[in-house]
Amino acid sequence: MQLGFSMFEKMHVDGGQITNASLADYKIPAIHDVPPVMENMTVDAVQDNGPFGAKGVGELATFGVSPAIANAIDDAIGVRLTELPMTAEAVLRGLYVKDNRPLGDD
Amino acid sequence: MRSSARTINFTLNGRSVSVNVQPHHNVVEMLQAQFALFGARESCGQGLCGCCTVLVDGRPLSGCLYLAVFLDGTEVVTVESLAPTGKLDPVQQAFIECGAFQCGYCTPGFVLMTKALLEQTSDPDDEQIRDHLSGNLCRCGAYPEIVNAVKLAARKSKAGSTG
Repeated sequence: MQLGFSMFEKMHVDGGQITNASLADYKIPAIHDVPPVMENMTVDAVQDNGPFGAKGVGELATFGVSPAIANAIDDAIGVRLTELPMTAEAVLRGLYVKDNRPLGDD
Repeated sequence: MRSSARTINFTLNGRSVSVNVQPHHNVVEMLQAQFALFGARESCGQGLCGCCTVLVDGRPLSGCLYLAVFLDGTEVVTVESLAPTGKLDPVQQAFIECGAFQCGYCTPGFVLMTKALLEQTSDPDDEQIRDHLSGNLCRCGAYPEIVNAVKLAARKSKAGSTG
């Protein structure tokens, strides 16, 4: 889920109307987009205001994905992206900005 | 008003059936309304997600796009036929053992695609599996587990067929 938000899923809105409201234009990750191996790590942490120190699970686990990918891009090419999704176009634009030749909107 | 309904005859999950359908009805509508089969689900309605997959003459196709009248004379298999006696098909069993789903909405499509793949290739590699399943979407992102399930299903099917 978070991989999709991080890399593909950009909602285009025109005057309040979503213009890519189908799976043809709003791409979600398919089987080729997901890495074959995903490493998970559990960190013990007590949530003081939860029952018995428990914390909700599920989507909390997604928070690390976008920063990890953003850090990887920064590490690889020195471009710091601060908006999602981090599409190929966003990376290219970042490279041009870094080169002091920002691209226009079109 | 003159009815535009057509009578079609086909084999549904091994049983000969005859049914009246409107020319604009798609396969999913017909299966749900006339046979109470809900395994093929309409999700995107555009043939992009694979949730509505059914096998027609052994070939997987999108039930949301295929018109029911085209089924005349064909052999149709839906996910409901895989466990007729309650004993799960090796593919279904493999999906459970590998945890190859979270919400399960896309699962009938993946299961039927896997059946079709294993008919063609009894021992598919990762790349063949990914290519074959690239038209099916799983919003929960269970893809790595699905690939494992297909490989397990291949082993189970082989073991089953050799005794």
